Amino acid sequence: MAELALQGLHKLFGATRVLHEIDIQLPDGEFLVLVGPSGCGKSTLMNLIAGLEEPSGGRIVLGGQDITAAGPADRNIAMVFQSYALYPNMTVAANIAFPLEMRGVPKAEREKTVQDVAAMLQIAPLLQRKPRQLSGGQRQRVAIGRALARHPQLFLFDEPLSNLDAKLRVDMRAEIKRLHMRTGVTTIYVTHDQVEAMTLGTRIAVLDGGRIQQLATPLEIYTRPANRFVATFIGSPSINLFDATRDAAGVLRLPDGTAIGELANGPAGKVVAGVRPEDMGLRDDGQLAGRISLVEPTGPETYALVDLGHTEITVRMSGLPNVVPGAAVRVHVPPQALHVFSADSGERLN
Amino acid sequence: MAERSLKTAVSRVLPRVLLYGVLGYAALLFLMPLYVMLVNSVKPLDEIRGGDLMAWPDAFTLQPWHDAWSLAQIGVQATGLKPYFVNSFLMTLPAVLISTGIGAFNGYVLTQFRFRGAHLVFAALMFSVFIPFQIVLIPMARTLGLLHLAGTVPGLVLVHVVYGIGFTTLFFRNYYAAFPPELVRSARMDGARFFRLFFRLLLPNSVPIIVVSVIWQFTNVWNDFLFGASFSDYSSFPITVALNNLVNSSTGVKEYNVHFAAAFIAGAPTLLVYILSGKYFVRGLMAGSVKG
Repeated sequence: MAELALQGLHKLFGATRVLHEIDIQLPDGEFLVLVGPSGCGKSTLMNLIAGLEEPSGGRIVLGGQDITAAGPADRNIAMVFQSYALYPNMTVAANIAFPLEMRGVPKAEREKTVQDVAAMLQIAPLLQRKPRQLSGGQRQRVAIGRALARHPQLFLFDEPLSNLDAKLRVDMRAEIKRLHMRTGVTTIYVTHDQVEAMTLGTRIAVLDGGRIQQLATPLEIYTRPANRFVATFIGSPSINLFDATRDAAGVLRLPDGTAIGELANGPAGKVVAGVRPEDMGLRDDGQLAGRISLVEPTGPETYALVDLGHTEITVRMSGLPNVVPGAAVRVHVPPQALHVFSADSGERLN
Repeated sequence: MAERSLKTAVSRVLPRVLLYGVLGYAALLFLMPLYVMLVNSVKPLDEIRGGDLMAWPDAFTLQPWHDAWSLAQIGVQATGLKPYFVNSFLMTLPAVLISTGIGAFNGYVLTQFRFRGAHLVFAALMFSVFIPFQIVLIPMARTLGLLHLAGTVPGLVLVHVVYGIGFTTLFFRNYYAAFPPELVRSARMDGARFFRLFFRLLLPNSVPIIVVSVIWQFTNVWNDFLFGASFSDYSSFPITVALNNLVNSSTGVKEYNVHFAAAFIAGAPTLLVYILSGKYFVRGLMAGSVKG
């Protein structure tokens, strides 16, 4: 267990800057989730922390020790890979014991650790099997067990659940969270699944274009996205965005002149206003007039796509409301639910 | 109706008949020499002189095999093939194991570590694959002379190791280039360094390509005649050279039945290697191209 500090960490491949100066201060016991579209630099960041790639500059400090120049074998960091990366020639027990063996832990102690880990993850009956004789979920448990066995200072998870089917993914997600609560090991978890990000992380870092767009608690990321990218990346169905204009009085108006809210401070001119689908509702006194173009019932909630003429928006409603395509409706936007972003830089304005 | 179903039946069966006919004929052509060798190796010499090479033996005898193995005159003494058979094993086993081992290690270093000139090293090794044997005869003779290995079995081992490294490196390089990178990264994070990464992870997971390399090297080294004829003497002849000497000896009666038996003995080990591990050979060659 240890705190992790990344200071001005960056990486260039030739002339291409894959990671810009990354600064993260991760206190002991935190669970940081890295999210971002593919190619955003999150895998590179993981590799730098693991020591599998060398940074072009900056420092990595783990538990008060500068490990920037240390090789992967000299860092006490364990990683769970997307493909599980279990050694096919070894039994489950040998897989779990492998990192201990490499570190010269005596055999008796290794065997005890294997038993402990197997009991914790309920894989004791599998210990003598080879990886190819295991199901996906079992492999995942073994991979986690192998990472646990050596009591690392830091856990790295690289999209560990993306090869599992939907139900198993939910189970394993809960298990990983429980495991983190029990062991308290500082963890970095890469995913592109927002639900994983929101449910697992004590903090989330949203990456794009090799930069951290926002680093905050899941709640803050969702309720106060720092910029337009974070707002659109987090949330499903994604946030509704409107081109709007702020007049001299601070009123935000849509292109057709409808007022949808206010922005107290800021320059007059073009802005982008965003509203989460669940913050809007179909109400007779709604500001926006439109026509329902599509209804998507999911069971617990229903998404209605509403054509406003200049744009199409999604409204999220609980249950199975009686709405039909083609119906003329009015959509209500509560002014306090507005996220306002600069039209140029995309930064949050309110 | 009946006529029509007959037609479809014929059109369905005919291609099969043709296919098996052609395949059977080809198999027959290939098996014919084997048949001739076997049949005539268990006949007394008189029957062969009678003229019918294809005929089944009238008086079955294993004497030619016995003669070929332990009585035939090859060197100064009438020792049969036995000592040369042993020579071939003493030459082939170390040559195969050492060249496979070095090839595996080369492949490991060439694929898992990006070092300056890696491509050049690999290109040079590849080039060695295409050098005709005859070109290296004289430099090799000189080298063996300087090393005091001329005319010895260890000398032949060296020659075959040097010549084999290009091939074995190529096999293992291609195999390791397709080795799952996450496994290697995982092992490195688990604390495996240079040698343990190779001996604990890559090598134990290389069985298919090891089989390919062993079969390839075994067949080449065992069957080699040129190097054997060039760099060995009476005490170190491999079996191919001994067989040649036996068959081409110009004195006495040509004992064809003994020759057939001797040829069969000389070819048996490679045949056995193929029969025992042929399926791994095909599987190993395919490995990496289709990941399952």
